Amino acid sequence: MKSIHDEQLKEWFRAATRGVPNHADQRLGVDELLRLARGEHLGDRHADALGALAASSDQSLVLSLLMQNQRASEQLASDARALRRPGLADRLQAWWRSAGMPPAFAAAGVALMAVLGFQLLGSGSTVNGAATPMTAQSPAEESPLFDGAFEPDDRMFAASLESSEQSDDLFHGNFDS
Amino acid sequence: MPDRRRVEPRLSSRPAPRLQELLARYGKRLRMLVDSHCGRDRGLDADDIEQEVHIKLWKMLESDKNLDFPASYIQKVVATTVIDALRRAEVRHAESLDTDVEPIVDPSFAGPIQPDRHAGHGHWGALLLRCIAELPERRRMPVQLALQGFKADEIAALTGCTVAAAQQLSYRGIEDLKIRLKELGADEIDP
Repeated sequence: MKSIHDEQLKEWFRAATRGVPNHADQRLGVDELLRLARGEHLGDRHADALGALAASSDQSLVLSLLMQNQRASEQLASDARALRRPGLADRLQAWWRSAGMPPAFAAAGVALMAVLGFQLLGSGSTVNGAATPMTAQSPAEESPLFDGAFEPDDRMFAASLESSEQSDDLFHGNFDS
Repeated sequence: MPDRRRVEPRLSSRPAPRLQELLARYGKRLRMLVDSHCGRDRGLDADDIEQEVHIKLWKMLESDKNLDFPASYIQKVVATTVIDALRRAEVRHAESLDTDVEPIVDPSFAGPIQPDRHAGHGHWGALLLRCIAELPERRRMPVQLALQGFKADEIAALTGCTVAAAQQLSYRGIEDLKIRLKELGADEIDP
């Protein structure tokens, strides 16, 4: 069985290269392991680093683990950063504090802004009321409701209440006789 | 005189459970990864490593609210934790060994060899190293990295060759090793 035989070879090799080499050149630092895990080239040190990996199953184990863990670590870093990012209020608060302003100033500032806001809102409503009518209005034409002109002679009643030649008596009969 | 020191934004406690959840999920993946590597009989406890990494990351996040928390930092925590665990395992392992057992493969290696390996696998390990040394130079490094557990794409990234080349070189090299070891009688042992 080929696969078992491969595993057997690996087991022998790892057992034979167990531990950390005594030679300083064959010892990898954490930073070197991290750079290799990121796929970086170590320059002049790269050949020695590969030799160190071949010579030590412990170092190879750590690097292998870091390589396979790289993506998960990037994901965690990204998620944690997004989660820890402060909100607008937090950032404003931090900025205010870093500017060295006492909190009482902030309270006064907020109160002042509120007062100004209310004032602006109050005056704005009347102006708006006049400036923006509810319905559009066409320019008024000269169309008087009544065309007639009132002259001094115009009378509602034509009858005259003045005394005239005709008698205003209701009964013409003579009751005296 | 106003205090001009840098003032950290006060974070609400709301993200804490979510952060714990993220760390727990990450820890689970890390544990599985360490578990697969612990199959090499390293004496590493995946649960211990997961727990230790979790605590270190959490403490760091708690102590510095403005920490940028890059992936390299997380990787560094994992690396140092695993290296420490390996050292502790080596110490435990060394304490359990007989003092007269010496490394037979390469005197430059500080790592101890298990007694049973010394008796059985140690012999074949020594032969294997000798056979590897006889391989053509081009195949030697890919074979050694493959035997250390690196995959073809990882070997390619490390050595700067293509994945296909890494696969071919390591495969042919290992096949050569099998033939050579068979000539030396390796087929007689139980695989």
